Amino acid sequence: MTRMGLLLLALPLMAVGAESRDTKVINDRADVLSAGRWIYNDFPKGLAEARKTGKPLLVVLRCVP
Amino acid sequence: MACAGFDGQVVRHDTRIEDLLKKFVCVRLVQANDLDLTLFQFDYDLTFAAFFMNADRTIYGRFGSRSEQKNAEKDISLEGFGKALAAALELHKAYPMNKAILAGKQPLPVAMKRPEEYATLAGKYKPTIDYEGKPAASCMHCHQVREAERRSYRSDNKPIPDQSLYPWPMPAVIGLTLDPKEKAKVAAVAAGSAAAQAGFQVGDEVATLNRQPIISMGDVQWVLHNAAGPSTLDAVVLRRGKTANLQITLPKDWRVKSDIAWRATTWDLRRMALGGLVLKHNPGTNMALRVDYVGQYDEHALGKRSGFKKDDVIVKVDNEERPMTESELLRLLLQNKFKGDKVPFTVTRGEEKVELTLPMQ
Repeated sequence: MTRMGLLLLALPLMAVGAESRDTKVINDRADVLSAGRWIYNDFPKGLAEARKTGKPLLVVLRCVP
Repeated sequence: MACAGFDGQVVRHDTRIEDLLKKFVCVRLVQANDLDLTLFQFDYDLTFAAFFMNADRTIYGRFGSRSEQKNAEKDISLEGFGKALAAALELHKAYPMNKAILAGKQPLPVAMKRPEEYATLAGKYKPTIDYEGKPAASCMHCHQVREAERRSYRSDNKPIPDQSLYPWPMPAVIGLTLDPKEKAKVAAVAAGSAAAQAGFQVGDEVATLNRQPIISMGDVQWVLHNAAGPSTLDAVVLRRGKTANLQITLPKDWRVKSDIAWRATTWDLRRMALGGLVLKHNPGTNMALRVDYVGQYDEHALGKRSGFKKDDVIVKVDNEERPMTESELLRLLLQNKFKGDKVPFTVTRGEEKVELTLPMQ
């Protein structure tokens, strides 16, 4: 089978995989924001909050997809 | 998604660390797009990393360690994370009186202030994730930062330095096994290692390393990542209620013992130097690297196009026949051979000996 043929066969699977990774990224933001415990993807906002409250910062870097 | 269990516990404020987390302003960053590399210097192969810091950007400590591909949470635990959080709070209480002892934990000057300044990443990503369009595709991964750094050396025909090839060495490289459920407590000391020669004992708690207060295994790795070879590191350990001063002597090529096979970024090194081959080391007195996988597409298929087959055993590379691991062979090639060089390989295939030539990329 040609490489193009293999690609055509794999396209539906690739689409599912891509959708899954997109969904993970979208759901992570939705889940974390709804819980209200984390400042999401906004480091300057975290710095400002730490200055205001006197608390230290915990910054988690997370690779989601 | 590696570390999903651990990350979930942290993000949901697991009851075992909830009270500690309430004392922090918690920030979650899920993209390397526009990441401030002058501040966030960590092991970019990690899928979970944490910083404890002051609002003035002074870093109290780092958290996050990994040494395996499949068992991604082997070197971390919620217990260890909790102890690091508690220790960071103590450093915060004492701040700024303790600013001097934190100096060594602060970020070092970097070549690029943002990932997008690297040529291979320039213009490819917007500063934020495109949640309305293609969220995953628009998200730059942290490991791409290390890859971009190495590609810049490669495109300039420069050797990739050891610090970039073997980043964030695990303490095991110097003979120390630390308990992931503690801050930095010694669980084992390898006989004959640099740690053994320094006098480390099982049960020792690493209090300071290179005069930096240590609150996690990640902090130990920060010191090791920036340690030259040869060099010496001063350590203070707590041992049965007393302190002991130790000195670790690091030989010239100490970090070469690191196994980088698990790292996502090693995939790109294999493209450059091995044409996409993945090798497994057969211990012995001579080189014996078995081809475990042959890449199939594009630049990762150059090994295949050059005639390599799965289960070939590489016994000689450019007149080099010493036994070595895949990580060591990558170093040999990436520091001595450059794009376009054609390197002779000798492989055994069953009873047959085959001579092949692999172009470098």
